[in-house]
Amino acid sequence: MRIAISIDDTDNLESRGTGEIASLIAEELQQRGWGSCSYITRHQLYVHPDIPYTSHNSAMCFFADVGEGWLEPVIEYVSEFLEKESAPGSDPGLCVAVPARMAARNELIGFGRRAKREVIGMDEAYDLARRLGVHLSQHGGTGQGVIGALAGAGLRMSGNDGRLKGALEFAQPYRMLRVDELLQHPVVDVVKSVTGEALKDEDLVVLGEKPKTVLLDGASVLLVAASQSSDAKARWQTLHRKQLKAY
Amino acid sequence: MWRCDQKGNREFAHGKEAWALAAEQAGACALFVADVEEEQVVEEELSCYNCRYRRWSVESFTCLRLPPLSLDEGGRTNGWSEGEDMHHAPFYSSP
Repeated sequence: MRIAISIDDTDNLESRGTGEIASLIAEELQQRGWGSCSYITRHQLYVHPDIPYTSHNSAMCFFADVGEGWLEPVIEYVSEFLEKESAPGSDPGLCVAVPARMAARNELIGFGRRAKREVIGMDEAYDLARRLGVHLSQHGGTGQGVIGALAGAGLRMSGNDGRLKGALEFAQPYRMLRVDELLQHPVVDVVKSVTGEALKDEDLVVLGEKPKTVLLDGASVLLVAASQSSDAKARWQTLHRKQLKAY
Repeated sequence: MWRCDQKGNREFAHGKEAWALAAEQAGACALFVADVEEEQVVEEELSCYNCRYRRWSVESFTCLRLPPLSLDEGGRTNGWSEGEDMHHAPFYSSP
């Protein structure tokens, strides 16, 4: 059974980030033999003076494939973890959704999209979670993180939002790789041009510093643009981080 | 380089895409600390845009470490402003 685990607002200015908390949770679920976990995605939410985020207002989400009987233990474990490990002054929220059990997934996805452009209250988040049969809980502080946690689950389920946590790493510090070689990386599902041009397997891609994939059409996509390199063999280059801000 | 926002916070006056100025400012700041990887938005780590003490605002970001600016009657800024030496800035403690 595939579940989406989404958390928000677990950090403060000095603590480890929400992304690291998500990584620790995913590792522990796997170590306990409860299931396997996907990559973690970061979802940007609305930046507005009325929203009390710490510094960036982003949620973190990952999928886990767990046995039928493990849903409740997972929720219990993650809830306890957030209560113990979230930073002082934070307002952690947890959402655990089972996409296959949801008749109205589009409502959750719509909520996520709205949370990128509107101020939404906690009551509305709890009402929607109850109606959709999604677990939503707060674990300290004001509990405001439930809004971002629910939105993060919706945005991950949309398949078209967010950047993956972490940069791509390769066995050697390659400067260039072919498209088919990039596709052998376990986290790269697709290599795609931002301008929509077709890529060939043998096309060479110049790797920028800390290349990163984004979530598009449900896949982890390495975006590339026409190469600016003086090396005439290279047709493409990975996008700079500043170009990925929009994702 | 900085302006006061409506709440009196020190806001970067050049928006979210002044890459060179944000790098220059961070290079001169003794209080810069890189944010976690997933929140960094520029390859060059040393940039205010990558600092864990920047808080994104609608148009730019506010700095949560340097002291807030205040406006005197002449409209000039008290506290630090462009060109001041931030290597010798006093540490501004967190709230």
